[in-house]
Amino acid sequence: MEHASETEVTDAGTHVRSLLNALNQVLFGQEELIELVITGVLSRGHILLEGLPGLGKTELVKGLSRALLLDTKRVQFTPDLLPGDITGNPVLQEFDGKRQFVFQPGPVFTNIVLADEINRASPKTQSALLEAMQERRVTVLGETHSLPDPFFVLATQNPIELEGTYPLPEAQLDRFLFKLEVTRNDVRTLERIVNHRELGSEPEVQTVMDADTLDGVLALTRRIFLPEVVANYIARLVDGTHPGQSNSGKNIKYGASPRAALSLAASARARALMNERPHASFEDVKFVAPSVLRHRIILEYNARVEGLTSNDVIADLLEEIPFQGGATPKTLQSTASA
Amino acid sequence: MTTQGPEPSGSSTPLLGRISLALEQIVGYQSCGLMSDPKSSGNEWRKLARKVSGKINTAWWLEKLAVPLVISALIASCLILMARRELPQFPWAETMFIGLILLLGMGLMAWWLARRNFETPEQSLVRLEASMKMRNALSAANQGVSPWPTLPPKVDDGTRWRWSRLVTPLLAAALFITASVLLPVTARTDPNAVGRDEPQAWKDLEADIEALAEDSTVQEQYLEELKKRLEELRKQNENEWYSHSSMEATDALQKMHGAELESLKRNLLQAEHALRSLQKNDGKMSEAGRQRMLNKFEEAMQGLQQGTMKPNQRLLDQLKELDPKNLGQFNPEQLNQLRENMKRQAQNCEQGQGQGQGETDDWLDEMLNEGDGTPGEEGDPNREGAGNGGTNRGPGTAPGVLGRISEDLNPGDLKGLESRDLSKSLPGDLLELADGKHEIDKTKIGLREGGGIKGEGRGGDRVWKDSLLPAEKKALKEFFK
Repeated sequence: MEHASETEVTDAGTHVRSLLNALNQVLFGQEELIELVITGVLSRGHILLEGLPGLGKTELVKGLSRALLLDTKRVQFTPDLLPGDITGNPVLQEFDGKRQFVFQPGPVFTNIVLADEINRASPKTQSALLEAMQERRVTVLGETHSLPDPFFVLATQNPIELEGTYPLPEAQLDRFLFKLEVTRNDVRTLERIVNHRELGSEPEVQTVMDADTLDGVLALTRRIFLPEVVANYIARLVDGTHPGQSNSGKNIKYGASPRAALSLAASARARALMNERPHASFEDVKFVAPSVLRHRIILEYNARVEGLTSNDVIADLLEEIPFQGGATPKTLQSTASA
Repeated sequence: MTTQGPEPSGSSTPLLGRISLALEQIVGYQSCGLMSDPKSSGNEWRKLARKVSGKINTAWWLEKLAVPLVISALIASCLILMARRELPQFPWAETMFIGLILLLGMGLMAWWLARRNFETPEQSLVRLEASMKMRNALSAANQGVSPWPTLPPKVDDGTRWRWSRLVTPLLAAALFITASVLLPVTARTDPNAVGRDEPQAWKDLEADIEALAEDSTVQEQYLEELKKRLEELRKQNENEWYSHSSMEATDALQKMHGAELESLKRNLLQAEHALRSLQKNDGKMSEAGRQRMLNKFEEAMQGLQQGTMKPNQRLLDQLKELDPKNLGQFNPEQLNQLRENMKRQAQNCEQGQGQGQGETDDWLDEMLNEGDGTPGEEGDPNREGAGNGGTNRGPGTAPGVLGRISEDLNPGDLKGLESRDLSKSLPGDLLELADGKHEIDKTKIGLREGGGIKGEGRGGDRVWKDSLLPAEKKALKEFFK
């Protein structure tokens, strides 16, 4: 596969920058979140957004769909939601006097699915998304239906009011490229929101690229060069999440999977494209690592008792694992910060 | 490592190229100003990476070398100290050669150990781009994906030497070796080394032997025998020199020597005295006196001939040839010379004795013998003495049995004080002569009444007079008043 050239990357970067600007007009004060969401989209990954209600998660997804001119459907997950409500149901219809089952596509048949409060649905319903997320197709009554391309699932979950919820199983969590934490806005951002928004009205979003352009950018993202040393860094990072493989690993009960390594590589490529670079770098990996790894590791009981979070452990891990594989002798003193 | 270079100029001329090259050679600058094409830029980066790689690998080598170096230096310094102690002449050249070989071997071993940590120039390139936050531009360029970036004016590989870790082992090693070389150590087998001091008594005996041999006072045979015994004592282990048995043997030898000297001196003096008496009083002396002198001479001659320490052969022969009964046939001058010779020999003996064991109590004997004149005869007017005592002793003064008669001292005369070490006196030695009175119990002893109570208070008196404190005595006196 031919690697992306600087010219191609620069062209694509222009579109991506436009998308970034468009979304920044939708959601104020969440530049990093928007950057990561676009990174996830360019990586063709699914994103789990975790945050309190009213922080603009749904608005972000809507804005993304409008900016990309993609079809979007929103599913509000509730305990009584059934798998068929997502994937679609066969409906008995009469054609020429004959009755036959006709597949009625569910809301999953769209480009962007907004799975709102995904942890409120039953595990059975949650698992209905598994095949769709991974295989990008749905099988109903033995018949497989491909999902439109591109296909993204942007799920949200509320970290409070956990009573009556069903935490997502590890297998399903692993299928999300990123788990992003939507934080509250500061005073200046709130002031900006108050000045520029009105309750009940949706912001105007300009379409920045069509489907073909998006396809081209997505294809180009895959052609971004990943140097061997960066791949080595990713491998060492993922390996370090396992107990006994690093100092930080002692706080981790179960480490990240190879899928996490692939996710890191894909998102590093996407970020390199966003920065109009034809190759990924250590810094790209470091930037996306918390979002990729935080939902893929399970902390030790003792670490949780000590008040450590996944973010803390990953931060320690990133500090611990050096960019270059070779150690520095003790007769030399390191002057550069990783 | 930080490498600085001039700002890129963007132009390349032969003149500038030569100047740039010269600058690079002089100050080690990495010129990037003349790198107009990516290829040369890549070469510069690779060159830089090789430098960084060399620095990292040297650091690894030094790290692996540090501990063995210090340990080896410590061991080597101990070995050098031991060798300097054991060997009479330390082989410095050989030691330096072996040390260099060991150092070389250690360096090779450290290199072999450090080899697994060595960094390739490609890895150093990664180190450079990570340190300079170049977002893997060098790795991408090295793999031909993107062009080589321009060499910045300042290049930093993110490391600097930790001098404390580098210098400490070297200093420690140098300190150990220097200390082992400079510490004053005397070779155990060094012939010039100062050995343990032998006992003073041996030295005194040695001096005696030398003095007696020099003056030819006694026969060589005796001196050889004494020397032999002294050597036997010396042959002992140095640690045994001051042992109890050695000191006892030394003391016995010294006493034996002293006794022999004393005996020789006494015999010589006795013979000389007898000869003098016979010579001076020839014809005036009674037969009994003459016989006594002859007996004395004979007795002294026997002592001289049979003693272990004999006078020198010449003197002995002269004395043997001498017939004391017919002294008249000898020239008086010859006799006087012979006597003088005997006196001198006796004096030599005395000197030897004095050196050997200090002043003895011979003076007492001398004084007892002084005035050994014939009863009823005049003593030697030049000497004090009262003959040999007895009721019919001569007219001389009585022998000074109460001690050495002090020399007359006139005002202004100086006389050295003698200090006798009384702590080393033996039982029977005369330490002091003093006038005193016997403590006589003056308690009347006589008839006493038995069963009486007169004596009752004596015990009590004794108690309160002798044992009680003054205050208690006073209190008792007050009570009994």
